[in-house]
Amino acid sequence: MDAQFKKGVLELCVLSQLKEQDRYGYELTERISKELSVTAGTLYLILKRLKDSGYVETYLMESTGGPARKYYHLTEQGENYRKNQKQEWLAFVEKAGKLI
Amino acid sequence: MTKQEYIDALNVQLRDYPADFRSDILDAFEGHFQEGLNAGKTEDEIIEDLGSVRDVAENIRMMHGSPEHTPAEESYRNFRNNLNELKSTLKDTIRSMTDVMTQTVNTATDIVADLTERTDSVRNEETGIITGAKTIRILTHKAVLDTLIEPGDELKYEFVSKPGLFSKILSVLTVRQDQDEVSFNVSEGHAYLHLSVPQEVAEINFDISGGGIEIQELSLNRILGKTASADIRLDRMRTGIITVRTSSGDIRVRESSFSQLEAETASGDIILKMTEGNALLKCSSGDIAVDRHLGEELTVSSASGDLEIDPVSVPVINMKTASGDIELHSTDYPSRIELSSASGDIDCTLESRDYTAEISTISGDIDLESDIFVNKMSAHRVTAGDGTGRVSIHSVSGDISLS
Repeated sequence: MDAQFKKGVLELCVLSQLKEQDRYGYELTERISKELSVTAGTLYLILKRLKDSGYVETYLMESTGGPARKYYHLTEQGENYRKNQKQEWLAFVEKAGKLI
Repeated sequence: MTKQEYIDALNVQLRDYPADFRSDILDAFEGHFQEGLNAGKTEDEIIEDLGSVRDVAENIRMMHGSPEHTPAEESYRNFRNNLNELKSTLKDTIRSMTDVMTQTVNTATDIVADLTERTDSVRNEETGIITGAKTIRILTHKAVLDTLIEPGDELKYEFVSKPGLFSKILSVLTVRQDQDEVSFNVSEGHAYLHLSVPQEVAEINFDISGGGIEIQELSLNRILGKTASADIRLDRMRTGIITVRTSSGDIRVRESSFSQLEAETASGDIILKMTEGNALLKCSSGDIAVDRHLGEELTVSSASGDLEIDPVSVPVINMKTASGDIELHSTDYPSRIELSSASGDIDCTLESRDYTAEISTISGDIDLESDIFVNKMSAHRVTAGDGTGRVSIHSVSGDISLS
């Protein structure tokens, strides 16, 4: 259960990061694992899951002096889902905060 | 482990998953290696970033199901279920904590009852009648004193001290009269003082430590008092000036009128209910709540406590807090209303439609309800109706809502 719960939160972090702007995998995983103790591997699996659900989509873009990068983009459906999850998270934190 | 060994091992773990799923994952991991190497990391460092193949494999099974069925939806449902499960676990925990507390209280009550029975014979009692007093003074030193002051035909006192649960010491009462002033001095211990007070008495002063003081249904010119932890309760009073201060006690004033009330507490709460008069309320960490109040001027401030005023009819209101929330509902014409907070949210409801409001915040959100009858609106100025009332609302990081 703990692991599942963490995944849900990480998912929200990933979606929120993508709301700001499209990012490629390495950039995204570095940003998140800098703040949270989570492996890049886990984040790629979360990205895969979000993609399968239609919440993010990917496209390739040439990078300067390297191979093409796969960028992740938040879809409209993903944005709706993100808003929803964020509300749920905030409500949860507020309630838990009263108990802790 | 090298990059190739890692990828191969991952590939083995993915062998039973559909080909497009497998290539998606492997692409992402290979891309990560590439970026990492370009950024100057070693293969070992990158592998550490990615996590062990075993962990990754475990995560894949958890998030994407076993190879036979890979229902992503199921994982989302799981997340929601787990959240609900966590909620209900927390609820259960609180319920059982409440049970334990109830049991503890019951046990304590039994002990007290038992103790009372055994020690009932050991007590210090004193009663008496005083004549000609206009001022009453109650003083304690370290005592836990419960005081009740009520109207009566003559000034009569009843004093009882019994050993408390934590103290075996019996308090002693010393009554001293000096012309029209009478003082009740209670020494260390646990005691109860009941005073009946006639109309001639115009002033009550007190300085007590623990316990509580309750004054009811009297007409007085002046109340001046302070306590350490004792609660102060004024009920159905008509008073001129009231000045009360406590450190950790609560101050409650109910169904009373006064010309001026100054109440101050450090960590206690201040609660006014159905009151009339000008009030200045101040606390550090306690909350302040005012419910149905009438007056000319109301000043309320706190450091971290919440301020809730709902609803009042007062034209001049000043509310100020550092980190508490402010909630104001006024039914009167807002002659001058000033609300300010640093990090707390401000929620202001004005029934009057004639005012000009200056609103500013550094980083909070401003929310104007659509039912405001706005004539003019510039960046931070809202003019409603004839615009004659003055309202100013300021916060640093708290959100502001005006309706």
